[in-house]
Amino acid sequence: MPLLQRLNRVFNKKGGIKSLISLLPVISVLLVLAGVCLLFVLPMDGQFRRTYISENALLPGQAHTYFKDSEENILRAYREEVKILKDVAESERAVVIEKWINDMGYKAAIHNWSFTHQDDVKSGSNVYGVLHAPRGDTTESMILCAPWINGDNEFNEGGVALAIALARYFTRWSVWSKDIIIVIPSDTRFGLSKWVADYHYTSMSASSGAIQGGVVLDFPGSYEHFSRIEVKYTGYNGQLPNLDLINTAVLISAHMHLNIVIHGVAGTDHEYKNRATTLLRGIIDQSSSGLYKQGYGNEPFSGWRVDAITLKAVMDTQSMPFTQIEYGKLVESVLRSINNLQEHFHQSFFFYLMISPWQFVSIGTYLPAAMLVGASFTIKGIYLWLKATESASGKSIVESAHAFGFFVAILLACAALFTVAGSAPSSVLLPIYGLISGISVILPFFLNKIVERKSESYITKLRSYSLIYAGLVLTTLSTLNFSLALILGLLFFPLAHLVKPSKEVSEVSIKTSVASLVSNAAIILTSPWTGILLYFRFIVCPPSSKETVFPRLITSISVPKLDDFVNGMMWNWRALGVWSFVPILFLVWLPLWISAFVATLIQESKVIEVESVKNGKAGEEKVAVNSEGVEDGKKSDESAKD
Amino acid sequence: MDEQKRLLNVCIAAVLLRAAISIGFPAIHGILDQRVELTTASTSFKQLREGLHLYRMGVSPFDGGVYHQAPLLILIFQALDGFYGSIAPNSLAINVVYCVLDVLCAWFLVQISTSESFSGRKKLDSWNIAAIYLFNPLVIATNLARSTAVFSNVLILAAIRFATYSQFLSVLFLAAASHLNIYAVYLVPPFMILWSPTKAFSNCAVTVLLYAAAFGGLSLLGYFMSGGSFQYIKSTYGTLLFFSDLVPNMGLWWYFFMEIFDSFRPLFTYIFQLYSLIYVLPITIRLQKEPLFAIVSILGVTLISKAYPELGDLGIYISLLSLYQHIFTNVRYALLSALVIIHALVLAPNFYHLWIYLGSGNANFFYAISLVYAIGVTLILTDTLRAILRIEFDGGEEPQKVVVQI
Repeated sequence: MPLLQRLNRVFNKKGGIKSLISLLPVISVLLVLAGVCLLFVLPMDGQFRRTYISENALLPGQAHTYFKDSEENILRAYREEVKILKDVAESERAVVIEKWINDMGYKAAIHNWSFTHQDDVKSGSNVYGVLHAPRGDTTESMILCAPWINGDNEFNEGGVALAIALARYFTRWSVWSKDIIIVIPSDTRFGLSKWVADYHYTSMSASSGAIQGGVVLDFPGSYEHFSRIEVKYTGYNGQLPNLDLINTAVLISAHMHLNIVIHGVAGTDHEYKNRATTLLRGIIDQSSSGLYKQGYGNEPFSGWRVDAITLKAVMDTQSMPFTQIEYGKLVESVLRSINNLQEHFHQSFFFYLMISPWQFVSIGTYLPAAMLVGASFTIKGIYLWLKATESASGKSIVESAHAFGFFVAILLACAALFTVAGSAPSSVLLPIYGLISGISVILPFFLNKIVERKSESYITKLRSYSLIYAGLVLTTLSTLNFSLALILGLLFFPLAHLVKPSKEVSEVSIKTSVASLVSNAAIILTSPWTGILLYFRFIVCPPSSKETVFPRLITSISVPKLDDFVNGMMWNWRALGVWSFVPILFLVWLPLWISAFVATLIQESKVIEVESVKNGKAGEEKVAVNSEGVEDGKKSDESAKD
Repeated sequence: MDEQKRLLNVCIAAVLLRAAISIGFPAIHGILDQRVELTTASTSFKQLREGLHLYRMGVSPFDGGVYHQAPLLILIFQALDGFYGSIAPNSLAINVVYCVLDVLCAWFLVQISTSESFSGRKKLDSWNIAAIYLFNPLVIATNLARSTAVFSNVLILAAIRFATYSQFLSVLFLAAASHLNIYAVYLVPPFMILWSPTKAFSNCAVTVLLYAAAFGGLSLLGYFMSGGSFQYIKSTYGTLLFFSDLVPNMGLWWYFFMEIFDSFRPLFTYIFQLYSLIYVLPITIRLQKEPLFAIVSILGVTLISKAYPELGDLGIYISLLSLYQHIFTNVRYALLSALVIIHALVLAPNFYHLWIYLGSGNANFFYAISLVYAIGVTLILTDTLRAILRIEFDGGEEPQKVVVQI
């Protein structure tokens, strides 16, 4: 202890804390770098683990599957019938399917759904049926789902036919201890989401117990063969199903010698490059799941304690060695495993990043990446706070409270803009977005008028609050949606480190003008509206080769498509409860950006002018008080009057 | 004059804010009442209404494990119901009562700050003190959740307010507060110093007797309300003492008692209760010259060590600390502890959501964050205690050396 005390004293004597504080900005940048580097360390040997079945009851692949070639004729017949239904109206084909599954012994029903927002209505008909388990008590169930339209907007002919053929085949078995619910929703987006919500919220005409797990069948087109299975597992808002379910599917496919991949990476998992690609694609998928369009079918089950995966059959015309019957066997075997569950999926991981179908990184290993990035904002915020409170005016509690109030006002203004955007009719949403982006660009100039008379510490405090807020949100978010937190953290990086208040770059030199240029560029590039446009231009509608030249890049943006994109985002927030994008855009990104923008607008000359005027007014007393360095300016003004 | 006007404006704004939220989002009361962070078995308004209903139906409210709060509360709300006809959490009567209680709290805080124990010290303007209380999100949320802790808080503040003016009233207020919230008993030792600064034995004895009589008398209400049975003691104080209502909260108890083998339960119940009690005398003895700060610190200790803590306790603790502006320059970890607590407050509902609704997290998540919360409160507690002792060491002088604050 004396040694520690001594060290502490020496540390304090040498001004250790002061120099530590001055190092904080560097530490903050290093943390972000460390977070990014950690991401690339994860796929290295020794950092990840091999998957294993944690729940012993699952017994994947242990049951013999009897969905055999003898079923193929029935399957083909259903395919023919489903093909005919392709161009039939949704409500009519729902009636046909209802009759089929009703005849098999299921309790079938049609679920008509609609979402209304102002002038915009989305509606359709799902059809579903419940097979009461011969060995169950209707308290638990499993989902066998095949949407009419799959995640890539293709007609899911094979999927629907397989689901129905399997449903028919399942009635012949007496092994089921959980009810089987077959769902044929209109789409993977609104129809399925509404079905899942209504299943849990309302009393439906055919119902069963708690859904323990589900498999979504995605076998598009009229092919009877496929090249490989791709497992889609990412849910909305970064929710993931239990790792045991994915492992079960992977293990069973391996038993059946099927080729199974995740995130479309087909190469071997012995190569670092493939593992890293899978990891990065996984992060992108998780962070952008449910951004503006439909998913693959497993997403709507997330958030309801239902673990579901989509088994997507990928058709690569060069080589299609596997048959649709093998696909059916895989589904049968996965459902048999879910059927074996004694209690809800809980054993294995809910927080993981896959780096190959057989390898994963668990939360303890990867979470530091997002936490480091999040912490860098908090640390920069603390640094700015300490810097602000060094000066005489910065010590005033009133000023701190005022700056905080100012930040809250920015937040409230953004919330108001959010309400406007949320209640705008779909037909005028794009113009409204244009208007909102216009307002948010003009707003900082108005706010600047309010704060330009304030001292430097005021602005620093405002920035400090906004960065601490960012750190808080990112830390919280990283436990809910790791990938989104990480990507947002990298996105906000320029706002924390590259944006410089103009008064800090008063001297005209090459260094300062470069800094000011970078700062302005950062403000323009990190605007949420620039973000939306860039995402749309390069990801949603990638430019064709002709359009890559600069002016064409912008002029060739298709307005109807942009309208669809923006409306899709709003709809997913409104109807599917995807809070990862629109609320974050308005309540986190926008206020952060506005605070940074306000900070850059302040001119030093004005601040000096105001300071000198103030000093003159308050007279010598104020100077005396300031030299004491504790009293705030405002109070001293009052005391001077007295 | 200007000061008074500002104070009035703050109070009016606070009342308007509460009314606006209540009218704009009538469902918010129920939502907040369901939050385990804001209400517990000993303060939930929903359970109070259930108890009142039972009582009206002629059933003892203390039967059946629904109601664990003080008997007096049922009588208060029965009277209110009889007077106004509804005690729905968004009804006018309840709105008015809770607004008045909050404004009373703020007023008592302002009164305390102008009392002689703070004379000659640097302190915040009274409207600042009122605003720190009235616009504290924790206080607002507790108020909107209609937590009955608001009643015991106002009584504790009233007891402090009257301690030096009218001993008699102060004793009664503290007895009533202890009746509503048994942990207020811990405040008796520091109050003794306030009540009888000369430490005359006869004076002390009289106040203790008066306190005991008032406390006992109020508690006897339950005897009559349950039709002449002492079973209510088990249901009210027993639940607190033996921690029989195992619902998660922001405290340190529930996880332990959820995991523990039943045979160890009594032992650990004693240990946990003893732990929250053990600080009372040392703090009182050490802070003899600052009995008010001893009260504040004991509130701070119980805020994390009691069986059913809630976030409103932190709100009142922070408000009481705001009276001590002269120690602000001497605290070291203001920013650090604030950040720790804010992170805990944001992460707690998040982890609860992961655990209860999404099922991807588990109880460890929520408990971990309540530990972080406890660390944050402990930081404030130790930091302020150190600061006040340092000032005492310096003979009440402002510190010469500027403390590095993080």
